[in-house]
Amino acid sequence: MRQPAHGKGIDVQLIRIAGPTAPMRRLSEVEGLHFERTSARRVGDDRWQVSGYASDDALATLRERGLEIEAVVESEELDEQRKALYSRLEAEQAREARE
Amino acid sequence: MAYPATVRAIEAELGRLAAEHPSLCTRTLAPNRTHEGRSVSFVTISGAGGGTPVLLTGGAHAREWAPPDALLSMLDRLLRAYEDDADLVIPAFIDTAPARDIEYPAASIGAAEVKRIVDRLELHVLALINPDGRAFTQASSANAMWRKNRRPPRPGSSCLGVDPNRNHDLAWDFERFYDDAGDVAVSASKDPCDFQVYIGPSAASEPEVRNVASLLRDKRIEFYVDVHSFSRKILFPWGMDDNQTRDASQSFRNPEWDGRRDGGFGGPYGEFIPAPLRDAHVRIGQAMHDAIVDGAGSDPRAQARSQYDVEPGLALYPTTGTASDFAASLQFEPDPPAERVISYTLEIGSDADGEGGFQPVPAIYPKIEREMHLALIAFLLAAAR
Repeated sequence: MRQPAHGKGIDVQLIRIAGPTAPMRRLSEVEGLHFERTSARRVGDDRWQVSGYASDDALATLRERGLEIEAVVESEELDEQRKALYSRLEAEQAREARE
Repeated sequence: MAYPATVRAIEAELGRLAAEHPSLCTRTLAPNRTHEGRSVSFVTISGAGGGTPVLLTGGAHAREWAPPDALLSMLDRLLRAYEDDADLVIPAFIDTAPARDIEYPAASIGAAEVKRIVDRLELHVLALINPDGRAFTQASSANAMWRKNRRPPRPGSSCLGVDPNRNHDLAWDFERFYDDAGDVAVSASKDPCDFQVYIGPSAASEPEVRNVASLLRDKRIEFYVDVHSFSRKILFPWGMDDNQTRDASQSFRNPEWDGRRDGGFGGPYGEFIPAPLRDAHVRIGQAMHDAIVDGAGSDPRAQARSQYDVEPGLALYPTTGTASDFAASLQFEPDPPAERVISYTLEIGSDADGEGGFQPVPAIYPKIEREMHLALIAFLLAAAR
């Protein structure tokens, strides 16, 4: 997956992807998908599940490839979580800058 | 030090630990600065001198925020418990996010066990391998998914960064290592613009990687854990291919197999691991797993959310150039720095159960932190036998 061409954030959701071995081994081709390789779990004969962060475009691509998607954290909730985390960081970084 | 810690806070905490425990803890600069000029330091904890050499690392991947913080809080608890000749206490934690609270009880590691760890080990901890990457992810939420270091782009390119956990000098040139099927499956890329797993211009090209490798060799490390997130897994060698214990000639060291390795799934090749070494990894890994589950208490919901899988690193995607596999590989060199190396990748936390994947929210972080503490203390006790 290549780097985004711009510095904007990507609206993403945290998902689980499931499907047969062959298409699951090609997930790195999907633009807009950041998946955690070590999360791979065998969930059946020739069936795997992997977790990752996916843009809306990536979700469409995954579905086109016949893979099943389970939403774990929707984009709005993920955005709220990030806002809280980065607010905390900004406060700490501002405090460091004053020192 | 509050989670999520900044790079500066992590460095300050390393200094504080060394300053407040001078007879036990020394801080040393790693030999290589990062591409952005940052120094990287590690601490060494030794109570009696001459102990079994152990290395713990974290923060190789920029977006994985919990491991460095949890490593440093564990050291803080360990050092204070040792100096007070007291039990190391992991406080109780209540997860209030579910409809009904889930309680994780306090856990205690006895003072005698704390003493055993500190006195019998030479414990080196490099908590933040990749400070450039972490600083980048924390500069803006737009950067939250960054994983690599910050190697500048080649002339004519705008693509930065190398994956520090694909750059170690083990099967680094995956195209030479594998057959065509393995090439497709491997979680590695020679494209500098790959957002996640670019292997770098050459093996061990990255200063962050050379820092880890130099510690593994120079300190003759016998026990190693590289802490990442997420997926609740305790991974042991190998990640390169299926394990087998029959044929020592099927080895990463044997060039006759170059271009013929398939990367797993029942093909003709399997990566050799001696049965006693594999069994030791399974036994110690199970002890780490059991420590986490036992620490979860009696609530079945807590136990279900505390299940870490103990398995080889291969799973669905073969990996090359990883720190933990590289550490394990050193024992097979003609003149090894250590006769036996026990090596893991520990993946803490989860995407599910409100644990937030790469960047847990502060409310759930204590649950993930305690799991890492329980697992690593079990690991350290195994090393201290």
